[in-house]
Amino acid sequence: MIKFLKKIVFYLVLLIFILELIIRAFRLTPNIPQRTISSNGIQKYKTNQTGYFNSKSKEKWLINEFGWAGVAQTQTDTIFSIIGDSFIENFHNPLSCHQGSYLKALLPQYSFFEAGRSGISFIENLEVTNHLDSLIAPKKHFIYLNSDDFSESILEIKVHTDRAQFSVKSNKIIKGKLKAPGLKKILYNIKVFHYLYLNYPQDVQPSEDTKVNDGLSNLEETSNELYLNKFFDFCVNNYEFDKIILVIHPETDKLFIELCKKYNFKIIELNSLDYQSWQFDNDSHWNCIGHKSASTQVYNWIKSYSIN
Amino acid sequence: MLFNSLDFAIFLPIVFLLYWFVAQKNLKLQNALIVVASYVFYGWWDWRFLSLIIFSTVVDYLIGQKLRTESQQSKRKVLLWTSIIVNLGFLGFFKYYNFFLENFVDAFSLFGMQINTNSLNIILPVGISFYTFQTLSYTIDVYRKKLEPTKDFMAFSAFVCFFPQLVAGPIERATNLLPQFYKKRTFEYDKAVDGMRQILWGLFKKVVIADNCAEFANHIFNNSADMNGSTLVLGAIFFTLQIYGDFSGYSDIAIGTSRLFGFDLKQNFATPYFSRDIAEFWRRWHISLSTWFRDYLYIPLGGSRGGTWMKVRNTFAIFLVSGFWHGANWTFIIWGALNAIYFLPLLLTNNNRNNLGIVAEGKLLPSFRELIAMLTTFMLTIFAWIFFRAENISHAFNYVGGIFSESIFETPKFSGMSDSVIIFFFLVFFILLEWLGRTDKFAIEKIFDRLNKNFRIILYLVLTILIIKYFFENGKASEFIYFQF
Repeated sequence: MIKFLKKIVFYLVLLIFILELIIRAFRLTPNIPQRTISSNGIQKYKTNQTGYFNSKSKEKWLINEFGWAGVAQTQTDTIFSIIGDSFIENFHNPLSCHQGSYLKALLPQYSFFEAGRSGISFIENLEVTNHLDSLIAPKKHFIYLNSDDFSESILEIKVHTDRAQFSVKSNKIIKGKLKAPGLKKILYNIKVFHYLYLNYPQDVQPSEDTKVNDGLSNLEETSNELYLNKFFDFCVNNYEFDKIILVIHPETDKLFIELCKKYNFKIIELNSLDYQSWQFDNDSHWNCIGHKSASTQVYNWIKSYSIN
Repeated sequence: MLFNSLDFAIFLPIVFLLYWFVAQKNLKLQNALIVVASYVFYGWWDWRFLSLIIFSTVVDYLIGQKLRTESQQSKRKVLLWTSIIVNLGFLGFFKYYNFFLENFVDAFSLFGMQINTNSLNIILPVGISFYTFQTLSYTIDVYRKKLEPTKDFMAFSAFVCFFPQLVAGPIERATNLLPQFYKKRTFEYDKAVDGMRQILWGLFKKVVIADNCAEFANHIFNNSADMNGSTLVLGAIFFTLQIYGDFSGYSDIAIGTSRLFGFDLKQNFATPYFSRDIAEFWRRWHISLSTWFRDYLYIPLGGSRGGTWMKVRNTFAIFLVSGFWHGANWTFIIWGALNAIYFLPLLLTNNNRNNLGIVAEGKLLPSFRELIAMLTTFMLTIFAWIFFRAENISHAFNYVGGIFSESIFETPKFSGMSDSVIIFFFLVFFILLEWLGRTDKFAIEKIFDRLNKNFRIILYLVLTILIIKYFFENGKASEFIYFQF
């Protein structure tokens, strides 16, 4: 029996080793950078990390000295920040397909600074604006948002422990925590496990590590709106909305857009006649076409508002 | 629980370790663990239907006990028929109720009579056709006094629900499997290694061969109206290989898993596509079902002993029932009838036992005559599988009509055809190994033994990596075809 088990273990170890080599050689799993939380509660990436997003990526992403991937221009007097989630983080595309790169080409007199992180909520984006104000003092903040970013900001709608959320009941921000960082480090570094995790068959895939608050899981729309109103009240009173422009993704829920208008937020509603052409085949993130189209619309808005 | 799932990949080592490290000292504990593990295995799909298995187990156990003491033939017959009615009653209700109802309504509507009936939304319990036949074999053998009824309820329960072969066979005879539950199993290294090898080969057949062929077969069958004749032929070939890889793969995993626990199950497939005639094919395809029908239906009906009429009747009976066993659809019945038509000329001319041995035994290649015979049998089989796979009768006839059209001379064309090149390479590799290992119980049982140890390990690793690649690439574990039967 022991001989049999030893043989099985030997075979498994050998198998894992070979699979590891294959997965690394063919880049079958994305390289994901490790995160850290700054003293003011902002989740960023550890600096100087680099890697490929997938096997088709020709260019490596690089985490800059500020803890974000992407464009970080601070050369000119006027800096615009570009804040958002994985769309702005943009590991999917080369640096030339980032919002900052396109806008810089159209407006060379300005600098653009990207601060994007996967899964970030609207409220955490607003926290980032405060952080950037003390760091590089941008003239304006462009926050790119879709429907999820609004609803994920409110604790009472759905709990997300790994990102900052606003608690309607306590009327304060609950900072996000790093979710199992040790385990993630192992998972991301042993590619076999990461590959198996990513490709785990969909029909039996474990649910996401977010739990719906039992008492509020079946919120009626009116309750949701009530929470959103309280959330928006909080935002208006705590952040400098003169400097903030919300760039709303195409196909964002009208409810959120109407709320933004009601609170007189400056918004850019991105339009797309063929939104599919903006996206990758099996991924809703924007490809270069999407990023270029979005940046052109932001550029038009900047021109028409003569920000100077 | 599917064999080709991560659930099973976790379940199996846990049960294996408990079995050999915790339950090893005690036979009753070994059997009890098998029963519990088997119920978990089955309940993973739908725990409610466990009650059917348990009920069937209790009924057949009690009937066995009664048959032990009952000497009066009429009462023994009543007991036997009670078991048959209970078991086939469940099977009939879950599997055939709606079929009979619909055909009953259709038949009356032919005479202008409209009957309003409500068909039931019945879920077919997985494996019911398999464990029903297994328990029936016990009662019949006890009735025939070929088998001593067991007093050990735990052993009998384990025999009925033994998880490796519970949901899709092989359909084990009580005479072979039940006595293995009476003896404490001890770990045998060679047996376990052999079992692992058979599991590996079974998974390769299922995940790499069957599931990939299924993709093309499904695409072609689902869009058959838009396909040319040559593509339809390809679709039928893909299905032919799919069903073999799928079902024989399941059997290999089941037999291999059983060996890990110290059990020997009967061989269920013996390279059937290398058969030289249909009679040989049926001695090599789904052997456990064919022999079940032979022993409990064909021979009681008189077998091939009577006159021509009796031979024709019995042959059709066994093939039609076999077709109907697969499912409540006329397509299966036609598939059975076709095989009866293929088989009858051999039987009536006493040529049904011409090819009892293994083709080209001791030789590397078959003779030209053998090759032609194998190809002819293979083509006849492919033709019959079209009916088996088709959604309904008209789909089958349209498919066949599409093949026998001028477009059969066109180049095959279907979307995703470029991907089929790599699958074609795997198929050649697969068929080659099956050919080389045709004398063994499964293809890679012994053929790798001739190779250098390191090269052998590399081959096992290649097979495993391919299984992992295609299992994870497909995004979900696909069910085995025979689960639906």
